[in-house]
Amino acid sequence: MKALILNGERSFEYSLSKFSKIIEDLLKGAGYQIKTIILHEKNIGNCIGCFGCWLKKPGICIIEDDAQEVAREVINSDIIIYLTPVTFGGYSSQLKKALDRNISLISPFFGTYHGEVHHRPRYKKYPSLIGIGVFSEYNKDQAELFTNLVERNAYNFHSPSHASQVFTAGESLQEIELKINSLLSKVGVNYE
Amino acid sequence: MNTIILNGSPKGNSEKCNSQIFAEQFVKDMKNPCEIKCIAQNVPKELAQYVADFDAIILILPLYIHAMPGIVMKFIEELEPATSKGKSIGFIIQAGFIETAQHKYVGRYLENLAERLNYSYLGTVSKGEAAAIYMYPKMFKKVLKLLSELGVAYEKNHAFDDEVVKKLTNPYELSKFKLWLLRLVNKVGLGNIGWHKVLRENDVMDKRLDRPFL
Repeated sequence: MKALILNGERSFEYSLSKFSKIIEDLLKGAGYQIKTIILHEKNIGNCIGCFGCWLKKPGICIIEDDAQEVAREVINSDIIIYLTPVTFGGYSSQLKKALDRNISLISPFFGTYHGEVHHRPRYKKYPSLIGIGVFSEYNKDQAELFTNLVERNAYNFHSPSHASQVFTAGESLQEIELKINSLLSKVGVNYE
Repeated sequence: MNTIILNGSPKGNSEKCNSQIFAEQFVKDMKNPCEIKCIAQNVPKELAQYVADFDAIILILPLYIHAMPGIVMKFIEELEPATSKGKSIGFIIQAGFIETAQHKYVGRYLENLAERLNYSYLGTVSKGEAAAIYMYPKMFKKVLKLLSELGVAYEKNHAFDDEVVKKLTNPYELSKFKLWLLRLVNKVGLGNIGWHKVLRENDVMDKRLDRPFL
């Protein structure tokens, strides 16, 4: 089993390595192979909305940079973790621009899911999604928005299960570990 | 009231950019058309400083996986809260999906953003089924006209006109019948005709379902 952490921390503010380490240790304990990508260390350009990944080179973004590696890792994982500072209720721009480039993983063709129109899957299997947002200062409305966004993205990317949790930067390691443990259980991580 | 229009599409002022078409339509019939700037063609921090001098901002953006594109997020991260009252911000979202309920998350996000930035929230106008506007503008004459009406009313009242907003936003959700019809259209392949045409032109029709990363 494979898990991928997409760390969307921003180079100019608090590091999210504390969270990343806890997730890695818990998943290793459950027998997972873990890969962590710190997105600001990678060369990832913005999606330019050209649909080249659907209509010119189906399944592959036409921009040749590290986003291709990210997409490859995502689709070959069983669990993907979006780890990000919460910015106004959303993901950091680092994480957002990497996710925009993942539309190569779905199909241009439409289907109806959850009573809405969505793009159909390209692959047979997609990873479960966990969203972990870290606040410098907690805000209830933004926490709800974050949860909602993770859910919407789970629909976009056909995740078989999803879960999310927000933290504040000052929470103790023990509290963080307990909550992440619960999140992992929600997407089926089993320690036995 | 000094208003700036921002185009949040990564395509910038390209002729294939629907957000740019929206922006140009919005100002087209104004007595004093507002300035339009593209986020994609500016340095985010410099643009954030530039817009701080305006009384109002209208940000027009495409929907990228249920939220704003990464470049808009980057720009938002550079915005500073207004130091005085009286500034306002509004948003116009355009997307390919038919139903505008899909803009629900980003609408709430943008309302929260306005509050955090100490700006009055003018609202978020949503338009679905907009992806093909740049390809077939004649088929979307009605939508383009509504955008111009929205701009004229904005210039007059400094607000989005409720009636025009309602027309643009419709349909908010899909009825059970419409969903059934869409399923049928997709099942018989009618929904794929446009995509197939381009795939054939690009000589990749046989690769359309490829899974290159397995």
